Amino acid sequence: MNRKLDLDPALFRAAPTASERPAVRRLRRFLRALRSRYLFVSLVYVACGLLVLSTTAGIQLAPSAGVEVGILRGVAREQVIPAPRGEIVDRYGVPLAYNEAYTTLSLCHAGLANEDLNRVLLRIALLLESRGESYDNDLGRYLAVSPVRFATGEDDVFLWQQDANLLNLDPAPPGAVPDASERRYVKTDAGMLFAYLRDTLFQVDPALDEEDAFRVMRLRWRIFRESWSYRSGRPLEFAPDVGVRTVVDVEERNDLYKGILVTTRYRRRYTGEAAWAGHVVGYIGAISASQYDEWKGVGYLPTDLVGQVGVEAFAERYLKGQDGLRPYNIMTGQEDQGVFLSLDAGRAPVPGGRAILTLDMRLQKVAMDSMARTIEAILLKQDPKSKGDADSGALVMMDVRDGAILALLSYPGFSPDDFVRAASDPDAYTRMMKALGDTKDKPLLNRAIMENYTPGSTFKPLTAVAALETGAVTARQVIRDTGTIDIGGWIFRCLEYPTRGHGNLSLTRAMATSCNVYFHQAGFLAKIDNIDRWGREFGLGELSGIDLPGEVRGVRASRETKKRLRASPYDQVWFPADTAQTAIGQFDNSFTILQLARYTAGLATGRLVTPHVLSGIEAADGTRIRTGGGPSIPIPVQESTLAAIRTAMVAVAADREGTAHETFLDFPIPVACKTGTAETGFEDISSSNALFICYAPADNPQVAIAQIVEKGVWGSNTAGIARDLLEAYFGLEGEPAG
Amino acid sequence: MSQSGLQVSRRADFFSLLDYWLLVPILLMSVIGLYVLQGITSSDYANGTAVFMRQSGAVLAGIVIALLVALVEYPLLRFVSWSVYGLGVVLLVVVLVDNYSLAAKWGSDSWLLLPVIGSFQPAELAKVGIALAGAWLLEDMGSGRISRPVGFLALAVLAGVPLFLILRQPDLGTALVIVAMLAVMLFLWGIRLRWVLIAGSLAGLSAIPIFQFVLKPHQKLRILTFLYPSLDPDNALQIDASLRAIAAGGLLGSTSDVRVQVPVKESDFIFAGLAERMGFVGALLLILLVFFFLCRGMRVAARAPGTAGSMMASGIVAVIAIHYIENIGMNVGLLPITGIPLPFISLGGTAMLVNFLMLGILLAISMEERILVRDRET
Repeated sequence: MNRKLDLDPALFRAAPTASERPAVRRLRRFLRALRSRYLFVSLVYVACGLLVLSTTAGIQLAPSAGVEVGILRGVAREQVIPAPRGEIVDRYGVPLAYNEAYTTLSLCHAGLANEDLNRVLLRIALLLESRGESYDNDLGRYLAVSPVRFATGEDDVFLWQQDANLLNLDPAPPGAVPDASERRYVKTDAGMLFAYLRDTLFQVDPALDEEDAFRVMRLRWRIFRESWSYRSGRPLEFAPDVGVRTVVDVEERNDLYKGILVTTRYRRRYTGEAAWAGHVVGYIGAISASQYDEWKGVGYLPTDLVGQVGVEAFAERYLKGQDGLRPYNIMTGQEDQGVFLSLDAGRAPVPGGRAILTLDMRLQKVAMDSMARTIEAILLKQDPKSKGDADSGALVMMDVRDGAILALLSYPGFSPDDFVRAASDPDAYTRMMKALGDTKDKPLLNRAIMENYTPGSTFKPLTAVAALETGAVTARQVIRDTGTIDIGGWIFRCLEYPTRGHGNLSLTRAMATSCNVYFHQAGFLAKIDNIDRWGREFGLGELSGIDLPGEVRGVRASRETKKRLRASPYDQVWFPADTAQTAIGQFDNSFTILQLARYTAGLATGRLVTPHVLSGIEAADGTRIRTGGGPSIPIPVQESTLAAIRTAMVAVAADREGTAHETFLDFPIPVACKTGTAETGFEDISSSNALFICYAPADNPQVAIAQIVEKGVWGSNTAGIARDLLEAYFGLEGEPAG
Repeated sequence: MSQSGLQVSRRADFFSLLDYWLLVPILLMSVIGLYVLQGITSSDYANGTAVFMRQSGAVLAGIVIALLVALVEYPLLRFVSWSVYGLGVVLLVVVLVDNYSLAAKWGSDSWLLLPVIGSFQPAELAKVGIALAGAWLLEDMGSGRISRPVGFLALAVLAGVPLFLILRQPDLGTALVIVAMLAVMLFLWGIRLRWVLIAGSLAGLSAIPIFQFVLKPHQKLRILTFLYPSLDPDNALQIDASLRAIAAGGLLGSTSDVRVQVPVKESDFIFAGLAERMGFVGALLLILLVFFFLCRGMRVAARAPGTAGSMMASGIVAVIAIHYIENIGMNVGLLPITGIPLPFISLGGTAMLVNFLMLGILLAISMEERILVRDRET
């Protein structure tokens, strides 16, 4: 106490003298008291109290304050208006992915009195039932009517009644008798539970019959389950899909259906055509944790569906669009109770952009059908080297001028539609699970860009480029094939004529007959570093930059690659024989079919294009918001080299000795091509892979094709697919051969 | 004074010495609270009667506790103070142990589930503990038993440990109440004004970094929603509903059968419920009772024998004052929403018992002073 007084010297200062007049003394005492900190704090308390008191008075004593506050401070509730996702179409506008609109009904808090709310609920329930439309029936899992009974086992119903977030009832202790009117104990029979919900909890009009009462209770239960959301103004969806007539009824008679909101939503659907190019179109699925983390800043919700594969995934941000918001208020005042008031226009939804692909679905279909036919034919064909196991394949057809992909096939494929229907359609679910679980055929794998294949003889044109460009070999130079060749101590044999060889070979004849001995020698003379360099120039073993997710890089045989792939220093030494193997497209060489197509286009034009499947993306008003494609880089290769190789590749189809001669017999357009039979290293148990590359017309190249049939035995077996495609592309179908 | 530490020797005088000016307003407030709660629980609660009975029991138990504590004399009061503080801190630690807390049931991890007592919020007890123990520390510093630097350090630790635990829960509201309470206590203790100015400007300067980096998103949102009500529909809706309920009360209370739905109307927003049911007359009555109680409490604090008594009383009065101001302030839309209940009114057994504990200590201090005056006169 003393301490306190010490610190407040004012309390001690100037004790009043007797001479002072009483008034002065009183004033002094008052001023002194004002300096007391206790008084100061008390005054602060009183001032704060007066402030809240006057505010309260202001709210309560204003005339008809309640209504005014309600409207003036009415919090704008917002209704989300979903934006439709952008369509995906092929280059001619053939639809691949589209949206199916459907309409849902939601309940929102309209401040209705209990009996009014129940009346609205009964009305909407009867309307929906008369149209055969379903609405929330969570209550039906536990309770059923006519006769009133538990819909499931007693124990489940009792446990459910004890859920603290729902009914929150306690098991009746011994001696207590639960009945329908008290709110404490678990209701032990169906009639009691029914009466409790109807009379005590939801206060449904007792005049209603059992079934009508149950209709109201089902919807009241929906509200009860999420009463906090409901009271804070969030609409609760209770009818997932209603017809147009119901929508019209509800919207036109909204005085009868107070608090019922109509929302248009969209389901993603894929056309039958999309199943021909499932890997390109892709599909949407639940957003993943990492996608959500990446995109939550731009308005994605954890419940969103986003593109998972193909263009759906690549162009997600363009396709998504932006949901709209409509602010509204529902009046709670006496006269206009339940009136829906749209406060302003809000923000209109922005539909997603329309993705236009470079694919031509007609060619895609030809490719798919031809691939299936070819595999069937290979399986039927008697061939000592065939193990009868051809089963899958991939194909890329590209416009050589700009890299636009006309067809991109991975066989077998899958139907994207199954993935978005799986939740509602058991057949689609079965098909989806089959595709997901097929570890042998792997239909979800996009073999054209996600799988590396040994190129085999389709690599030989590149060896030729390296040999000609370095001057190690000239186009006219003749190399003699005697059946065997010794390179760095390794003996390689001619596959066709192991004893006598092909004899004298120019580049053209070597390419046409696909003679290994010639290319072993040419590659050896060109040297591995040059082959590696020209492989890079033509984009082999390099990412192409295609606008699809999941592209793999491939592997180009080289000194560095050998070191990188092998652990032991002894194995890392480069031998001349490795160059000889590399030259015929074996050894470490392993590329995607897309890279082979890009390289073939490079051989045709001397330019390295950026392959792309997106021609562009258009906003809803038709403006182009993104154009597909990318740079086209000139390859520093001499025109004479390309011409020599063109002549050689034309001979593959045109020359009597050519490996694709039979296929292109009488084909009216000159085709430059190369077959490839790639050893996989498992020749004892499976057949070799069959590859084929080509471009046409040879004298004025427009398209390039690269393709593989896995375990297709011989490259020449599969050239027919390319022929079918070229026929379709140049409009030659149905013309008599010759 | 008696050796027992209790006013046993003056038991005959107990009821004549009791400070009815403190006791009666509180009893009236409790009755008003029960009346309002009865209305709310019967319409909103599935098992409203049980909740109401439980609350009534808590009020009765509280009155008994207050009268018992009023018997305590200063020497024992010192022990009681430190015990309350110690128990509060221990329980704050225990609440960290998952098995005891109700984290799964409520948003923040600040509730204990104890046998017999049921759910319990240790921060409530710790708050009183800091006021009581702090008061004794301040007395020791004033009398020179402890040097100033050591004393302030001890005070910082004394308040810092529970504050850290409370902020960790996180319960920003209670932490702010504690800081404000300590500020009032130090001010009344007589801390030099220059320190008040320095502390005030430091607090002002640190406000922005704390807002940016320390506060949790929901805490920021509450402040921002308070400043810009349209930001968050949920929070703004709470204020909006509260205002509509208060307005619906008018002068004499709402006569309508339909009540405005206000979230947490039984606790944080019970003032809205009171104003709705009893109108401005009820709100005025409550606020006048609060005025009366606070002024009487300050009088007790100013006249209490010994610094510790003054400090205990002013700490307790500060806590209660801040609770009333903040709670009513947020109900009428003057202050941001925090989870601070209305003392002696809101639903909640622990809070009620702790409030009556505080009342009991005020009564004990008041009695000490009255005995002194009586002994001086005789």
